[in-house]
Amino acid sequence: MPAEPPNPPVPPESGAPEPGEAVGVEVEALHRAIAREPPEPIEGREPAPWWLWAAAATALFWGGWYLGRHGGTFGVESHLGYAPDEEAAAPGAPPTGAGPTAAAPLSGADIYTQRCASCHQAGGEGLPGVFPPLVGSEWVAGDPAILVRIVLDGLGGPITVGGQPYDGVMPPWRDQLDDAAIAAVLTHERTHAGVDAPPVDPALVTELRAAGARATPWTAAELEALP
Amino acid sequence: MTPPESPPAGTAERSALDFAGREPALLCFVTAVFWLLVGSIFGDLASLKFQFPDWLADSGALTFGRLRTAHLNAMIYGWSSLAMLGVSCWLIPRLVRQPLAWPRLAVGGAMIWNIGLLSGVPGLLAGATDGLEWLELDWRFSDPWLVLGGAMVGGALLRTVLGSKVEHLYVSVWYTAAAFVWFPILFVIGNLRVYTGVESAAVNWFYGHNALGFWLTAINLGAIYYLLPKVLGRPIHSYQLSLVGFWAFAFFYSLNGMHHLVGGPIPTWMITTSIVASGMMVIPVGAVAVNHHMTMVGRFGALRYSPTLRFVVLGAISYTAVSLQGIFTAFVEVNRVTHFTQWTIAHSHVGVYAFVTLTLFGSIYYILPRLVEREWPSASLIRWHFWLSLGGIAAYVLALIVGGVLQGMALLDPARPFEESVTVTLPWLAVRTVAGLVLTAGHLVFAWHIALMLSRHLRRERRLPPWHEAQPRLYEESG
Amino acid sequence: MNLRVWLLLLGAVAIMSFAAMVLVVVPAALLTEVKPSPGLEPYTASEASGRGVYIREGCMYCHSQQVRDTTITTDEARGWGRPSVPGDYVYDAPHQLGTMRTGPDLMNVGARLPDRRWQLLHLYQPRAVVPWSIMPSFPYLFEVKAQAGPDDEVVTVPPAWAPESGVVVAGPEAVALVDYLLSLDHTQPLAPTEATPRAR
Repeated sequence: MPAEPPNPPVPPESGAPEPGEAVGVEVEALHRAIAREPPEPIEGREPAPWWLWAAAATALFWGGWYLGRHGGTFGVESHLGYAPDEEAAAPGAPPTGAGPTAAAPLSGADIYTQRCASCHQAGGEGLPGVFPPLVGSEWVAGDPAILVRIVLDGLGGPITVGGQPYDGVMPPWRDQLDDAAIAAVLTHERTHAGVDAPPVDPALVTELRAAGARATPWTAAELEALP
Repeated sequence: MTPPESPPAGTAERSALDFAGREPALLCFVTAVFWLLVGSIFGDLASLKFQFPDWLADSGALTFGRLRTAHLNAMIYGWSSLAMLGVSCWLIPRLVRQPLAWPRLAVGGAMIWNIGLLSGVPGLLAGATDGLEWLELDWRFSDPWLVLGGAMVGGALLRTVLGSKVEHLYVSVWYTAAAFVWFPILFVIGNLRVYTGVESAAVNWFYGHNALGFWLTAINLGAIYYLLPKVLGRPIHSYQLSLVGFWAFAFFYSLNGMHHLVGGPIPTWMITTSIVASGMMVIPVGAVAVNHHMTMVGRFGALRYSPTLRFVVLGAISYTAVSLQGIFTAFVEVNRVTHFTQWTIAHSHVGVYAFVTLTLFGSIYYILPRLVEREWPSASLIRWHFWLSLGGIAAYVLALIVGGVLQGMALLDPARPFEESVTVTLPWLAVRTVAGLVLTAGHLVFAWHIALMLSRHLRRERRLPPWHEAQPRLYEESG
Repeated sequence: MNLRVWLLLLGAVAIMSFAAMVLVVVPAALLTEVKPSPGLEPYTASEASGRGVYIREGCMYCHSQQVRDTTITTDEARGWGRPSVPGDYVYDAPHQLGTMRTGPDLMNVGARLPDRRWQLLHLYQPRAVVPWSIMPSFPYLFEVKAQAGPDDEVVTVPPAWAPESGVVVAGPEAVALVDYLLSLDHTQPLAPTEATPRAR
């Protein structure tokens, strides 16, 4: 190990000196470039600090525990091992569906923003010729049983809304929204932006849901033919 | 555990060693800087797309998904890999005290590697992609060139290592030599087209993570292990720590890949194995950090005098930072928030920029004067480059970490509409664009400086000693 | 020849082989037993070519295709579907699981947004249907024609985004891409034996 060096001199901070200044010392300068390098690095013989070994031992211990706790089975199943402890203690507990951070029920307006606005647009105005409006729609202000059916099982094919023809597909929401949520979002649509229709009762959704899922979405013709 | 010592290489021998690897190293550095500029432009364009999504939308070649891919591949396989090949061609001969074997083969290999990129990267813009992150370069007209070119350069370097005359292998040799057997294995495993379904995902991240670890990290740790003690003129702190750091790194890092799929549809035991292995990374990362820090301690003043040291020390600190961030991110409690967000992009740039790229800048500042026997023309250009790089990457990373966490919190709360997870990131993405442009400005300064230096070299102007390097009189004065 | 060099290189290869055994070879052997999830069909020709467009345009860099573990995330509560399992991906090569959610997860986009015209318009100009979107528009997958032909799939574009004259018609790649997106539906519940055991 070389001796501790004295404070190094401050090197020049600007560019190269003027040409001609060092004529004749080129060879010397060249060799100095190499000679001034410190020697090739070697390794010291200090031992690793004790606390690093302690940390390593702790980490290995933790690793073994973690692998045992969260390792799941040695197969192809995914999503094992990260269930909270109480669930692990009761195998076969049904999935909560909402996870550990299930929040308070959402308002009708929130559900609308998350599920409906991509087609019917943020204010329910729809997109002319593509997605029918909800505000001002005779369907929205009309028979709640028909509305609930549309939301539960979807709607496809030609339909006239506000005098304009539309021909699209709306997905079923039966498996994604519960009765209260469907009632809330429909009530929201029927009571805002100047629409003034009676709220939708969750019991109505429960009743119509019990009729069972349809294989295909409703068509406007089928809905109009309902008693 | 005390290392046997070899007699130090004399200056004349060192200069002969530098000379043998000069041509491949120069070729690699020059082409690497070309890809650095190309990759910067792609990155800036891709980032601007977040602010102007309809800008340049009429051309498929300039859509975000292709620009981003071209950016990543130009930076990883162009800039980083070529610069690392250049560093290796210079470093390995010095370490094993053997002139580079088969230098013409290495030159040919570097050319062929570039051919692979020259067909692969424009191919990405044209839409030819293998569709796997980090493995996008086309398997027909790009990958075979990379395999061939890499094998040629790697062959020359491994031949050099196998002819080693030194009794004791310095720690840098472990990392750099092993990288040249690790990366070919990984690249071939990753690019085989036999995986389907979730196996394809598992292999994808086995490759992606290990390419970072066993290629980018390995070579650059080797460079840091050499340049820190070299510039300071003192030994690396502890052989024992080097040993622990290296073998624990190899064992645990190689099992980390599945933490990219936490919560995902692959067998749980794979994910948990990777989470545990990620946690175990505290052992090698701690060992390397202590080793580097104890080597530096008491000599931080030298940072004022050596641009190499400034870049390399920042690179070493960033290695610790990116590793700790990676360990942290692997835990489900963090991952559930940060996965799928801009946090990931911040993390990858701490790794590939703040660690790898800054270390490569520092290495090139040290190596290039010794290859062309000519000093850097301007100290102020180096200062500009340093501060643009440091400022740019700091802003980049901080912006995306904040933006990523905000995005993750919004995504994790089902009561908040998806829209919020987009809008909360927008200001931070704008900061990122500015930071990216600052980094690009630094790259232009760097490229201009290299061009200046090489043009003087070619015009045979008068030569000067490398007085930008640390403690220039140190060796003379200490005998 | 230097013994230390050989020890180093062989040690390096041994460690990498071990890792590849654990994370590549053994999983490959285990995963051969995975059966397609209920209702999952191989891609049709058009869906497969649409998947090629999805890969080519790099959709993966902003959209994931995986619903994560319900015990640690809220993906399911967000309405993105049941947690994904290996059986959902048996026809996928290369995989497109993704690592970013700059845009929403697409594992079940076909069930969530089943309207073709929504998908086409959204690809032509995302901001026509989702005003806050930062997704790129893909006008080059569409054609503007003076008049639509008999087999053309016309995209109804709101006036603010429509070309000055003519109609927007979906190109073959846009049609294929939409076919692929609409095929992304993994909402069928898993059979009890295949369903994820909650805990062991």
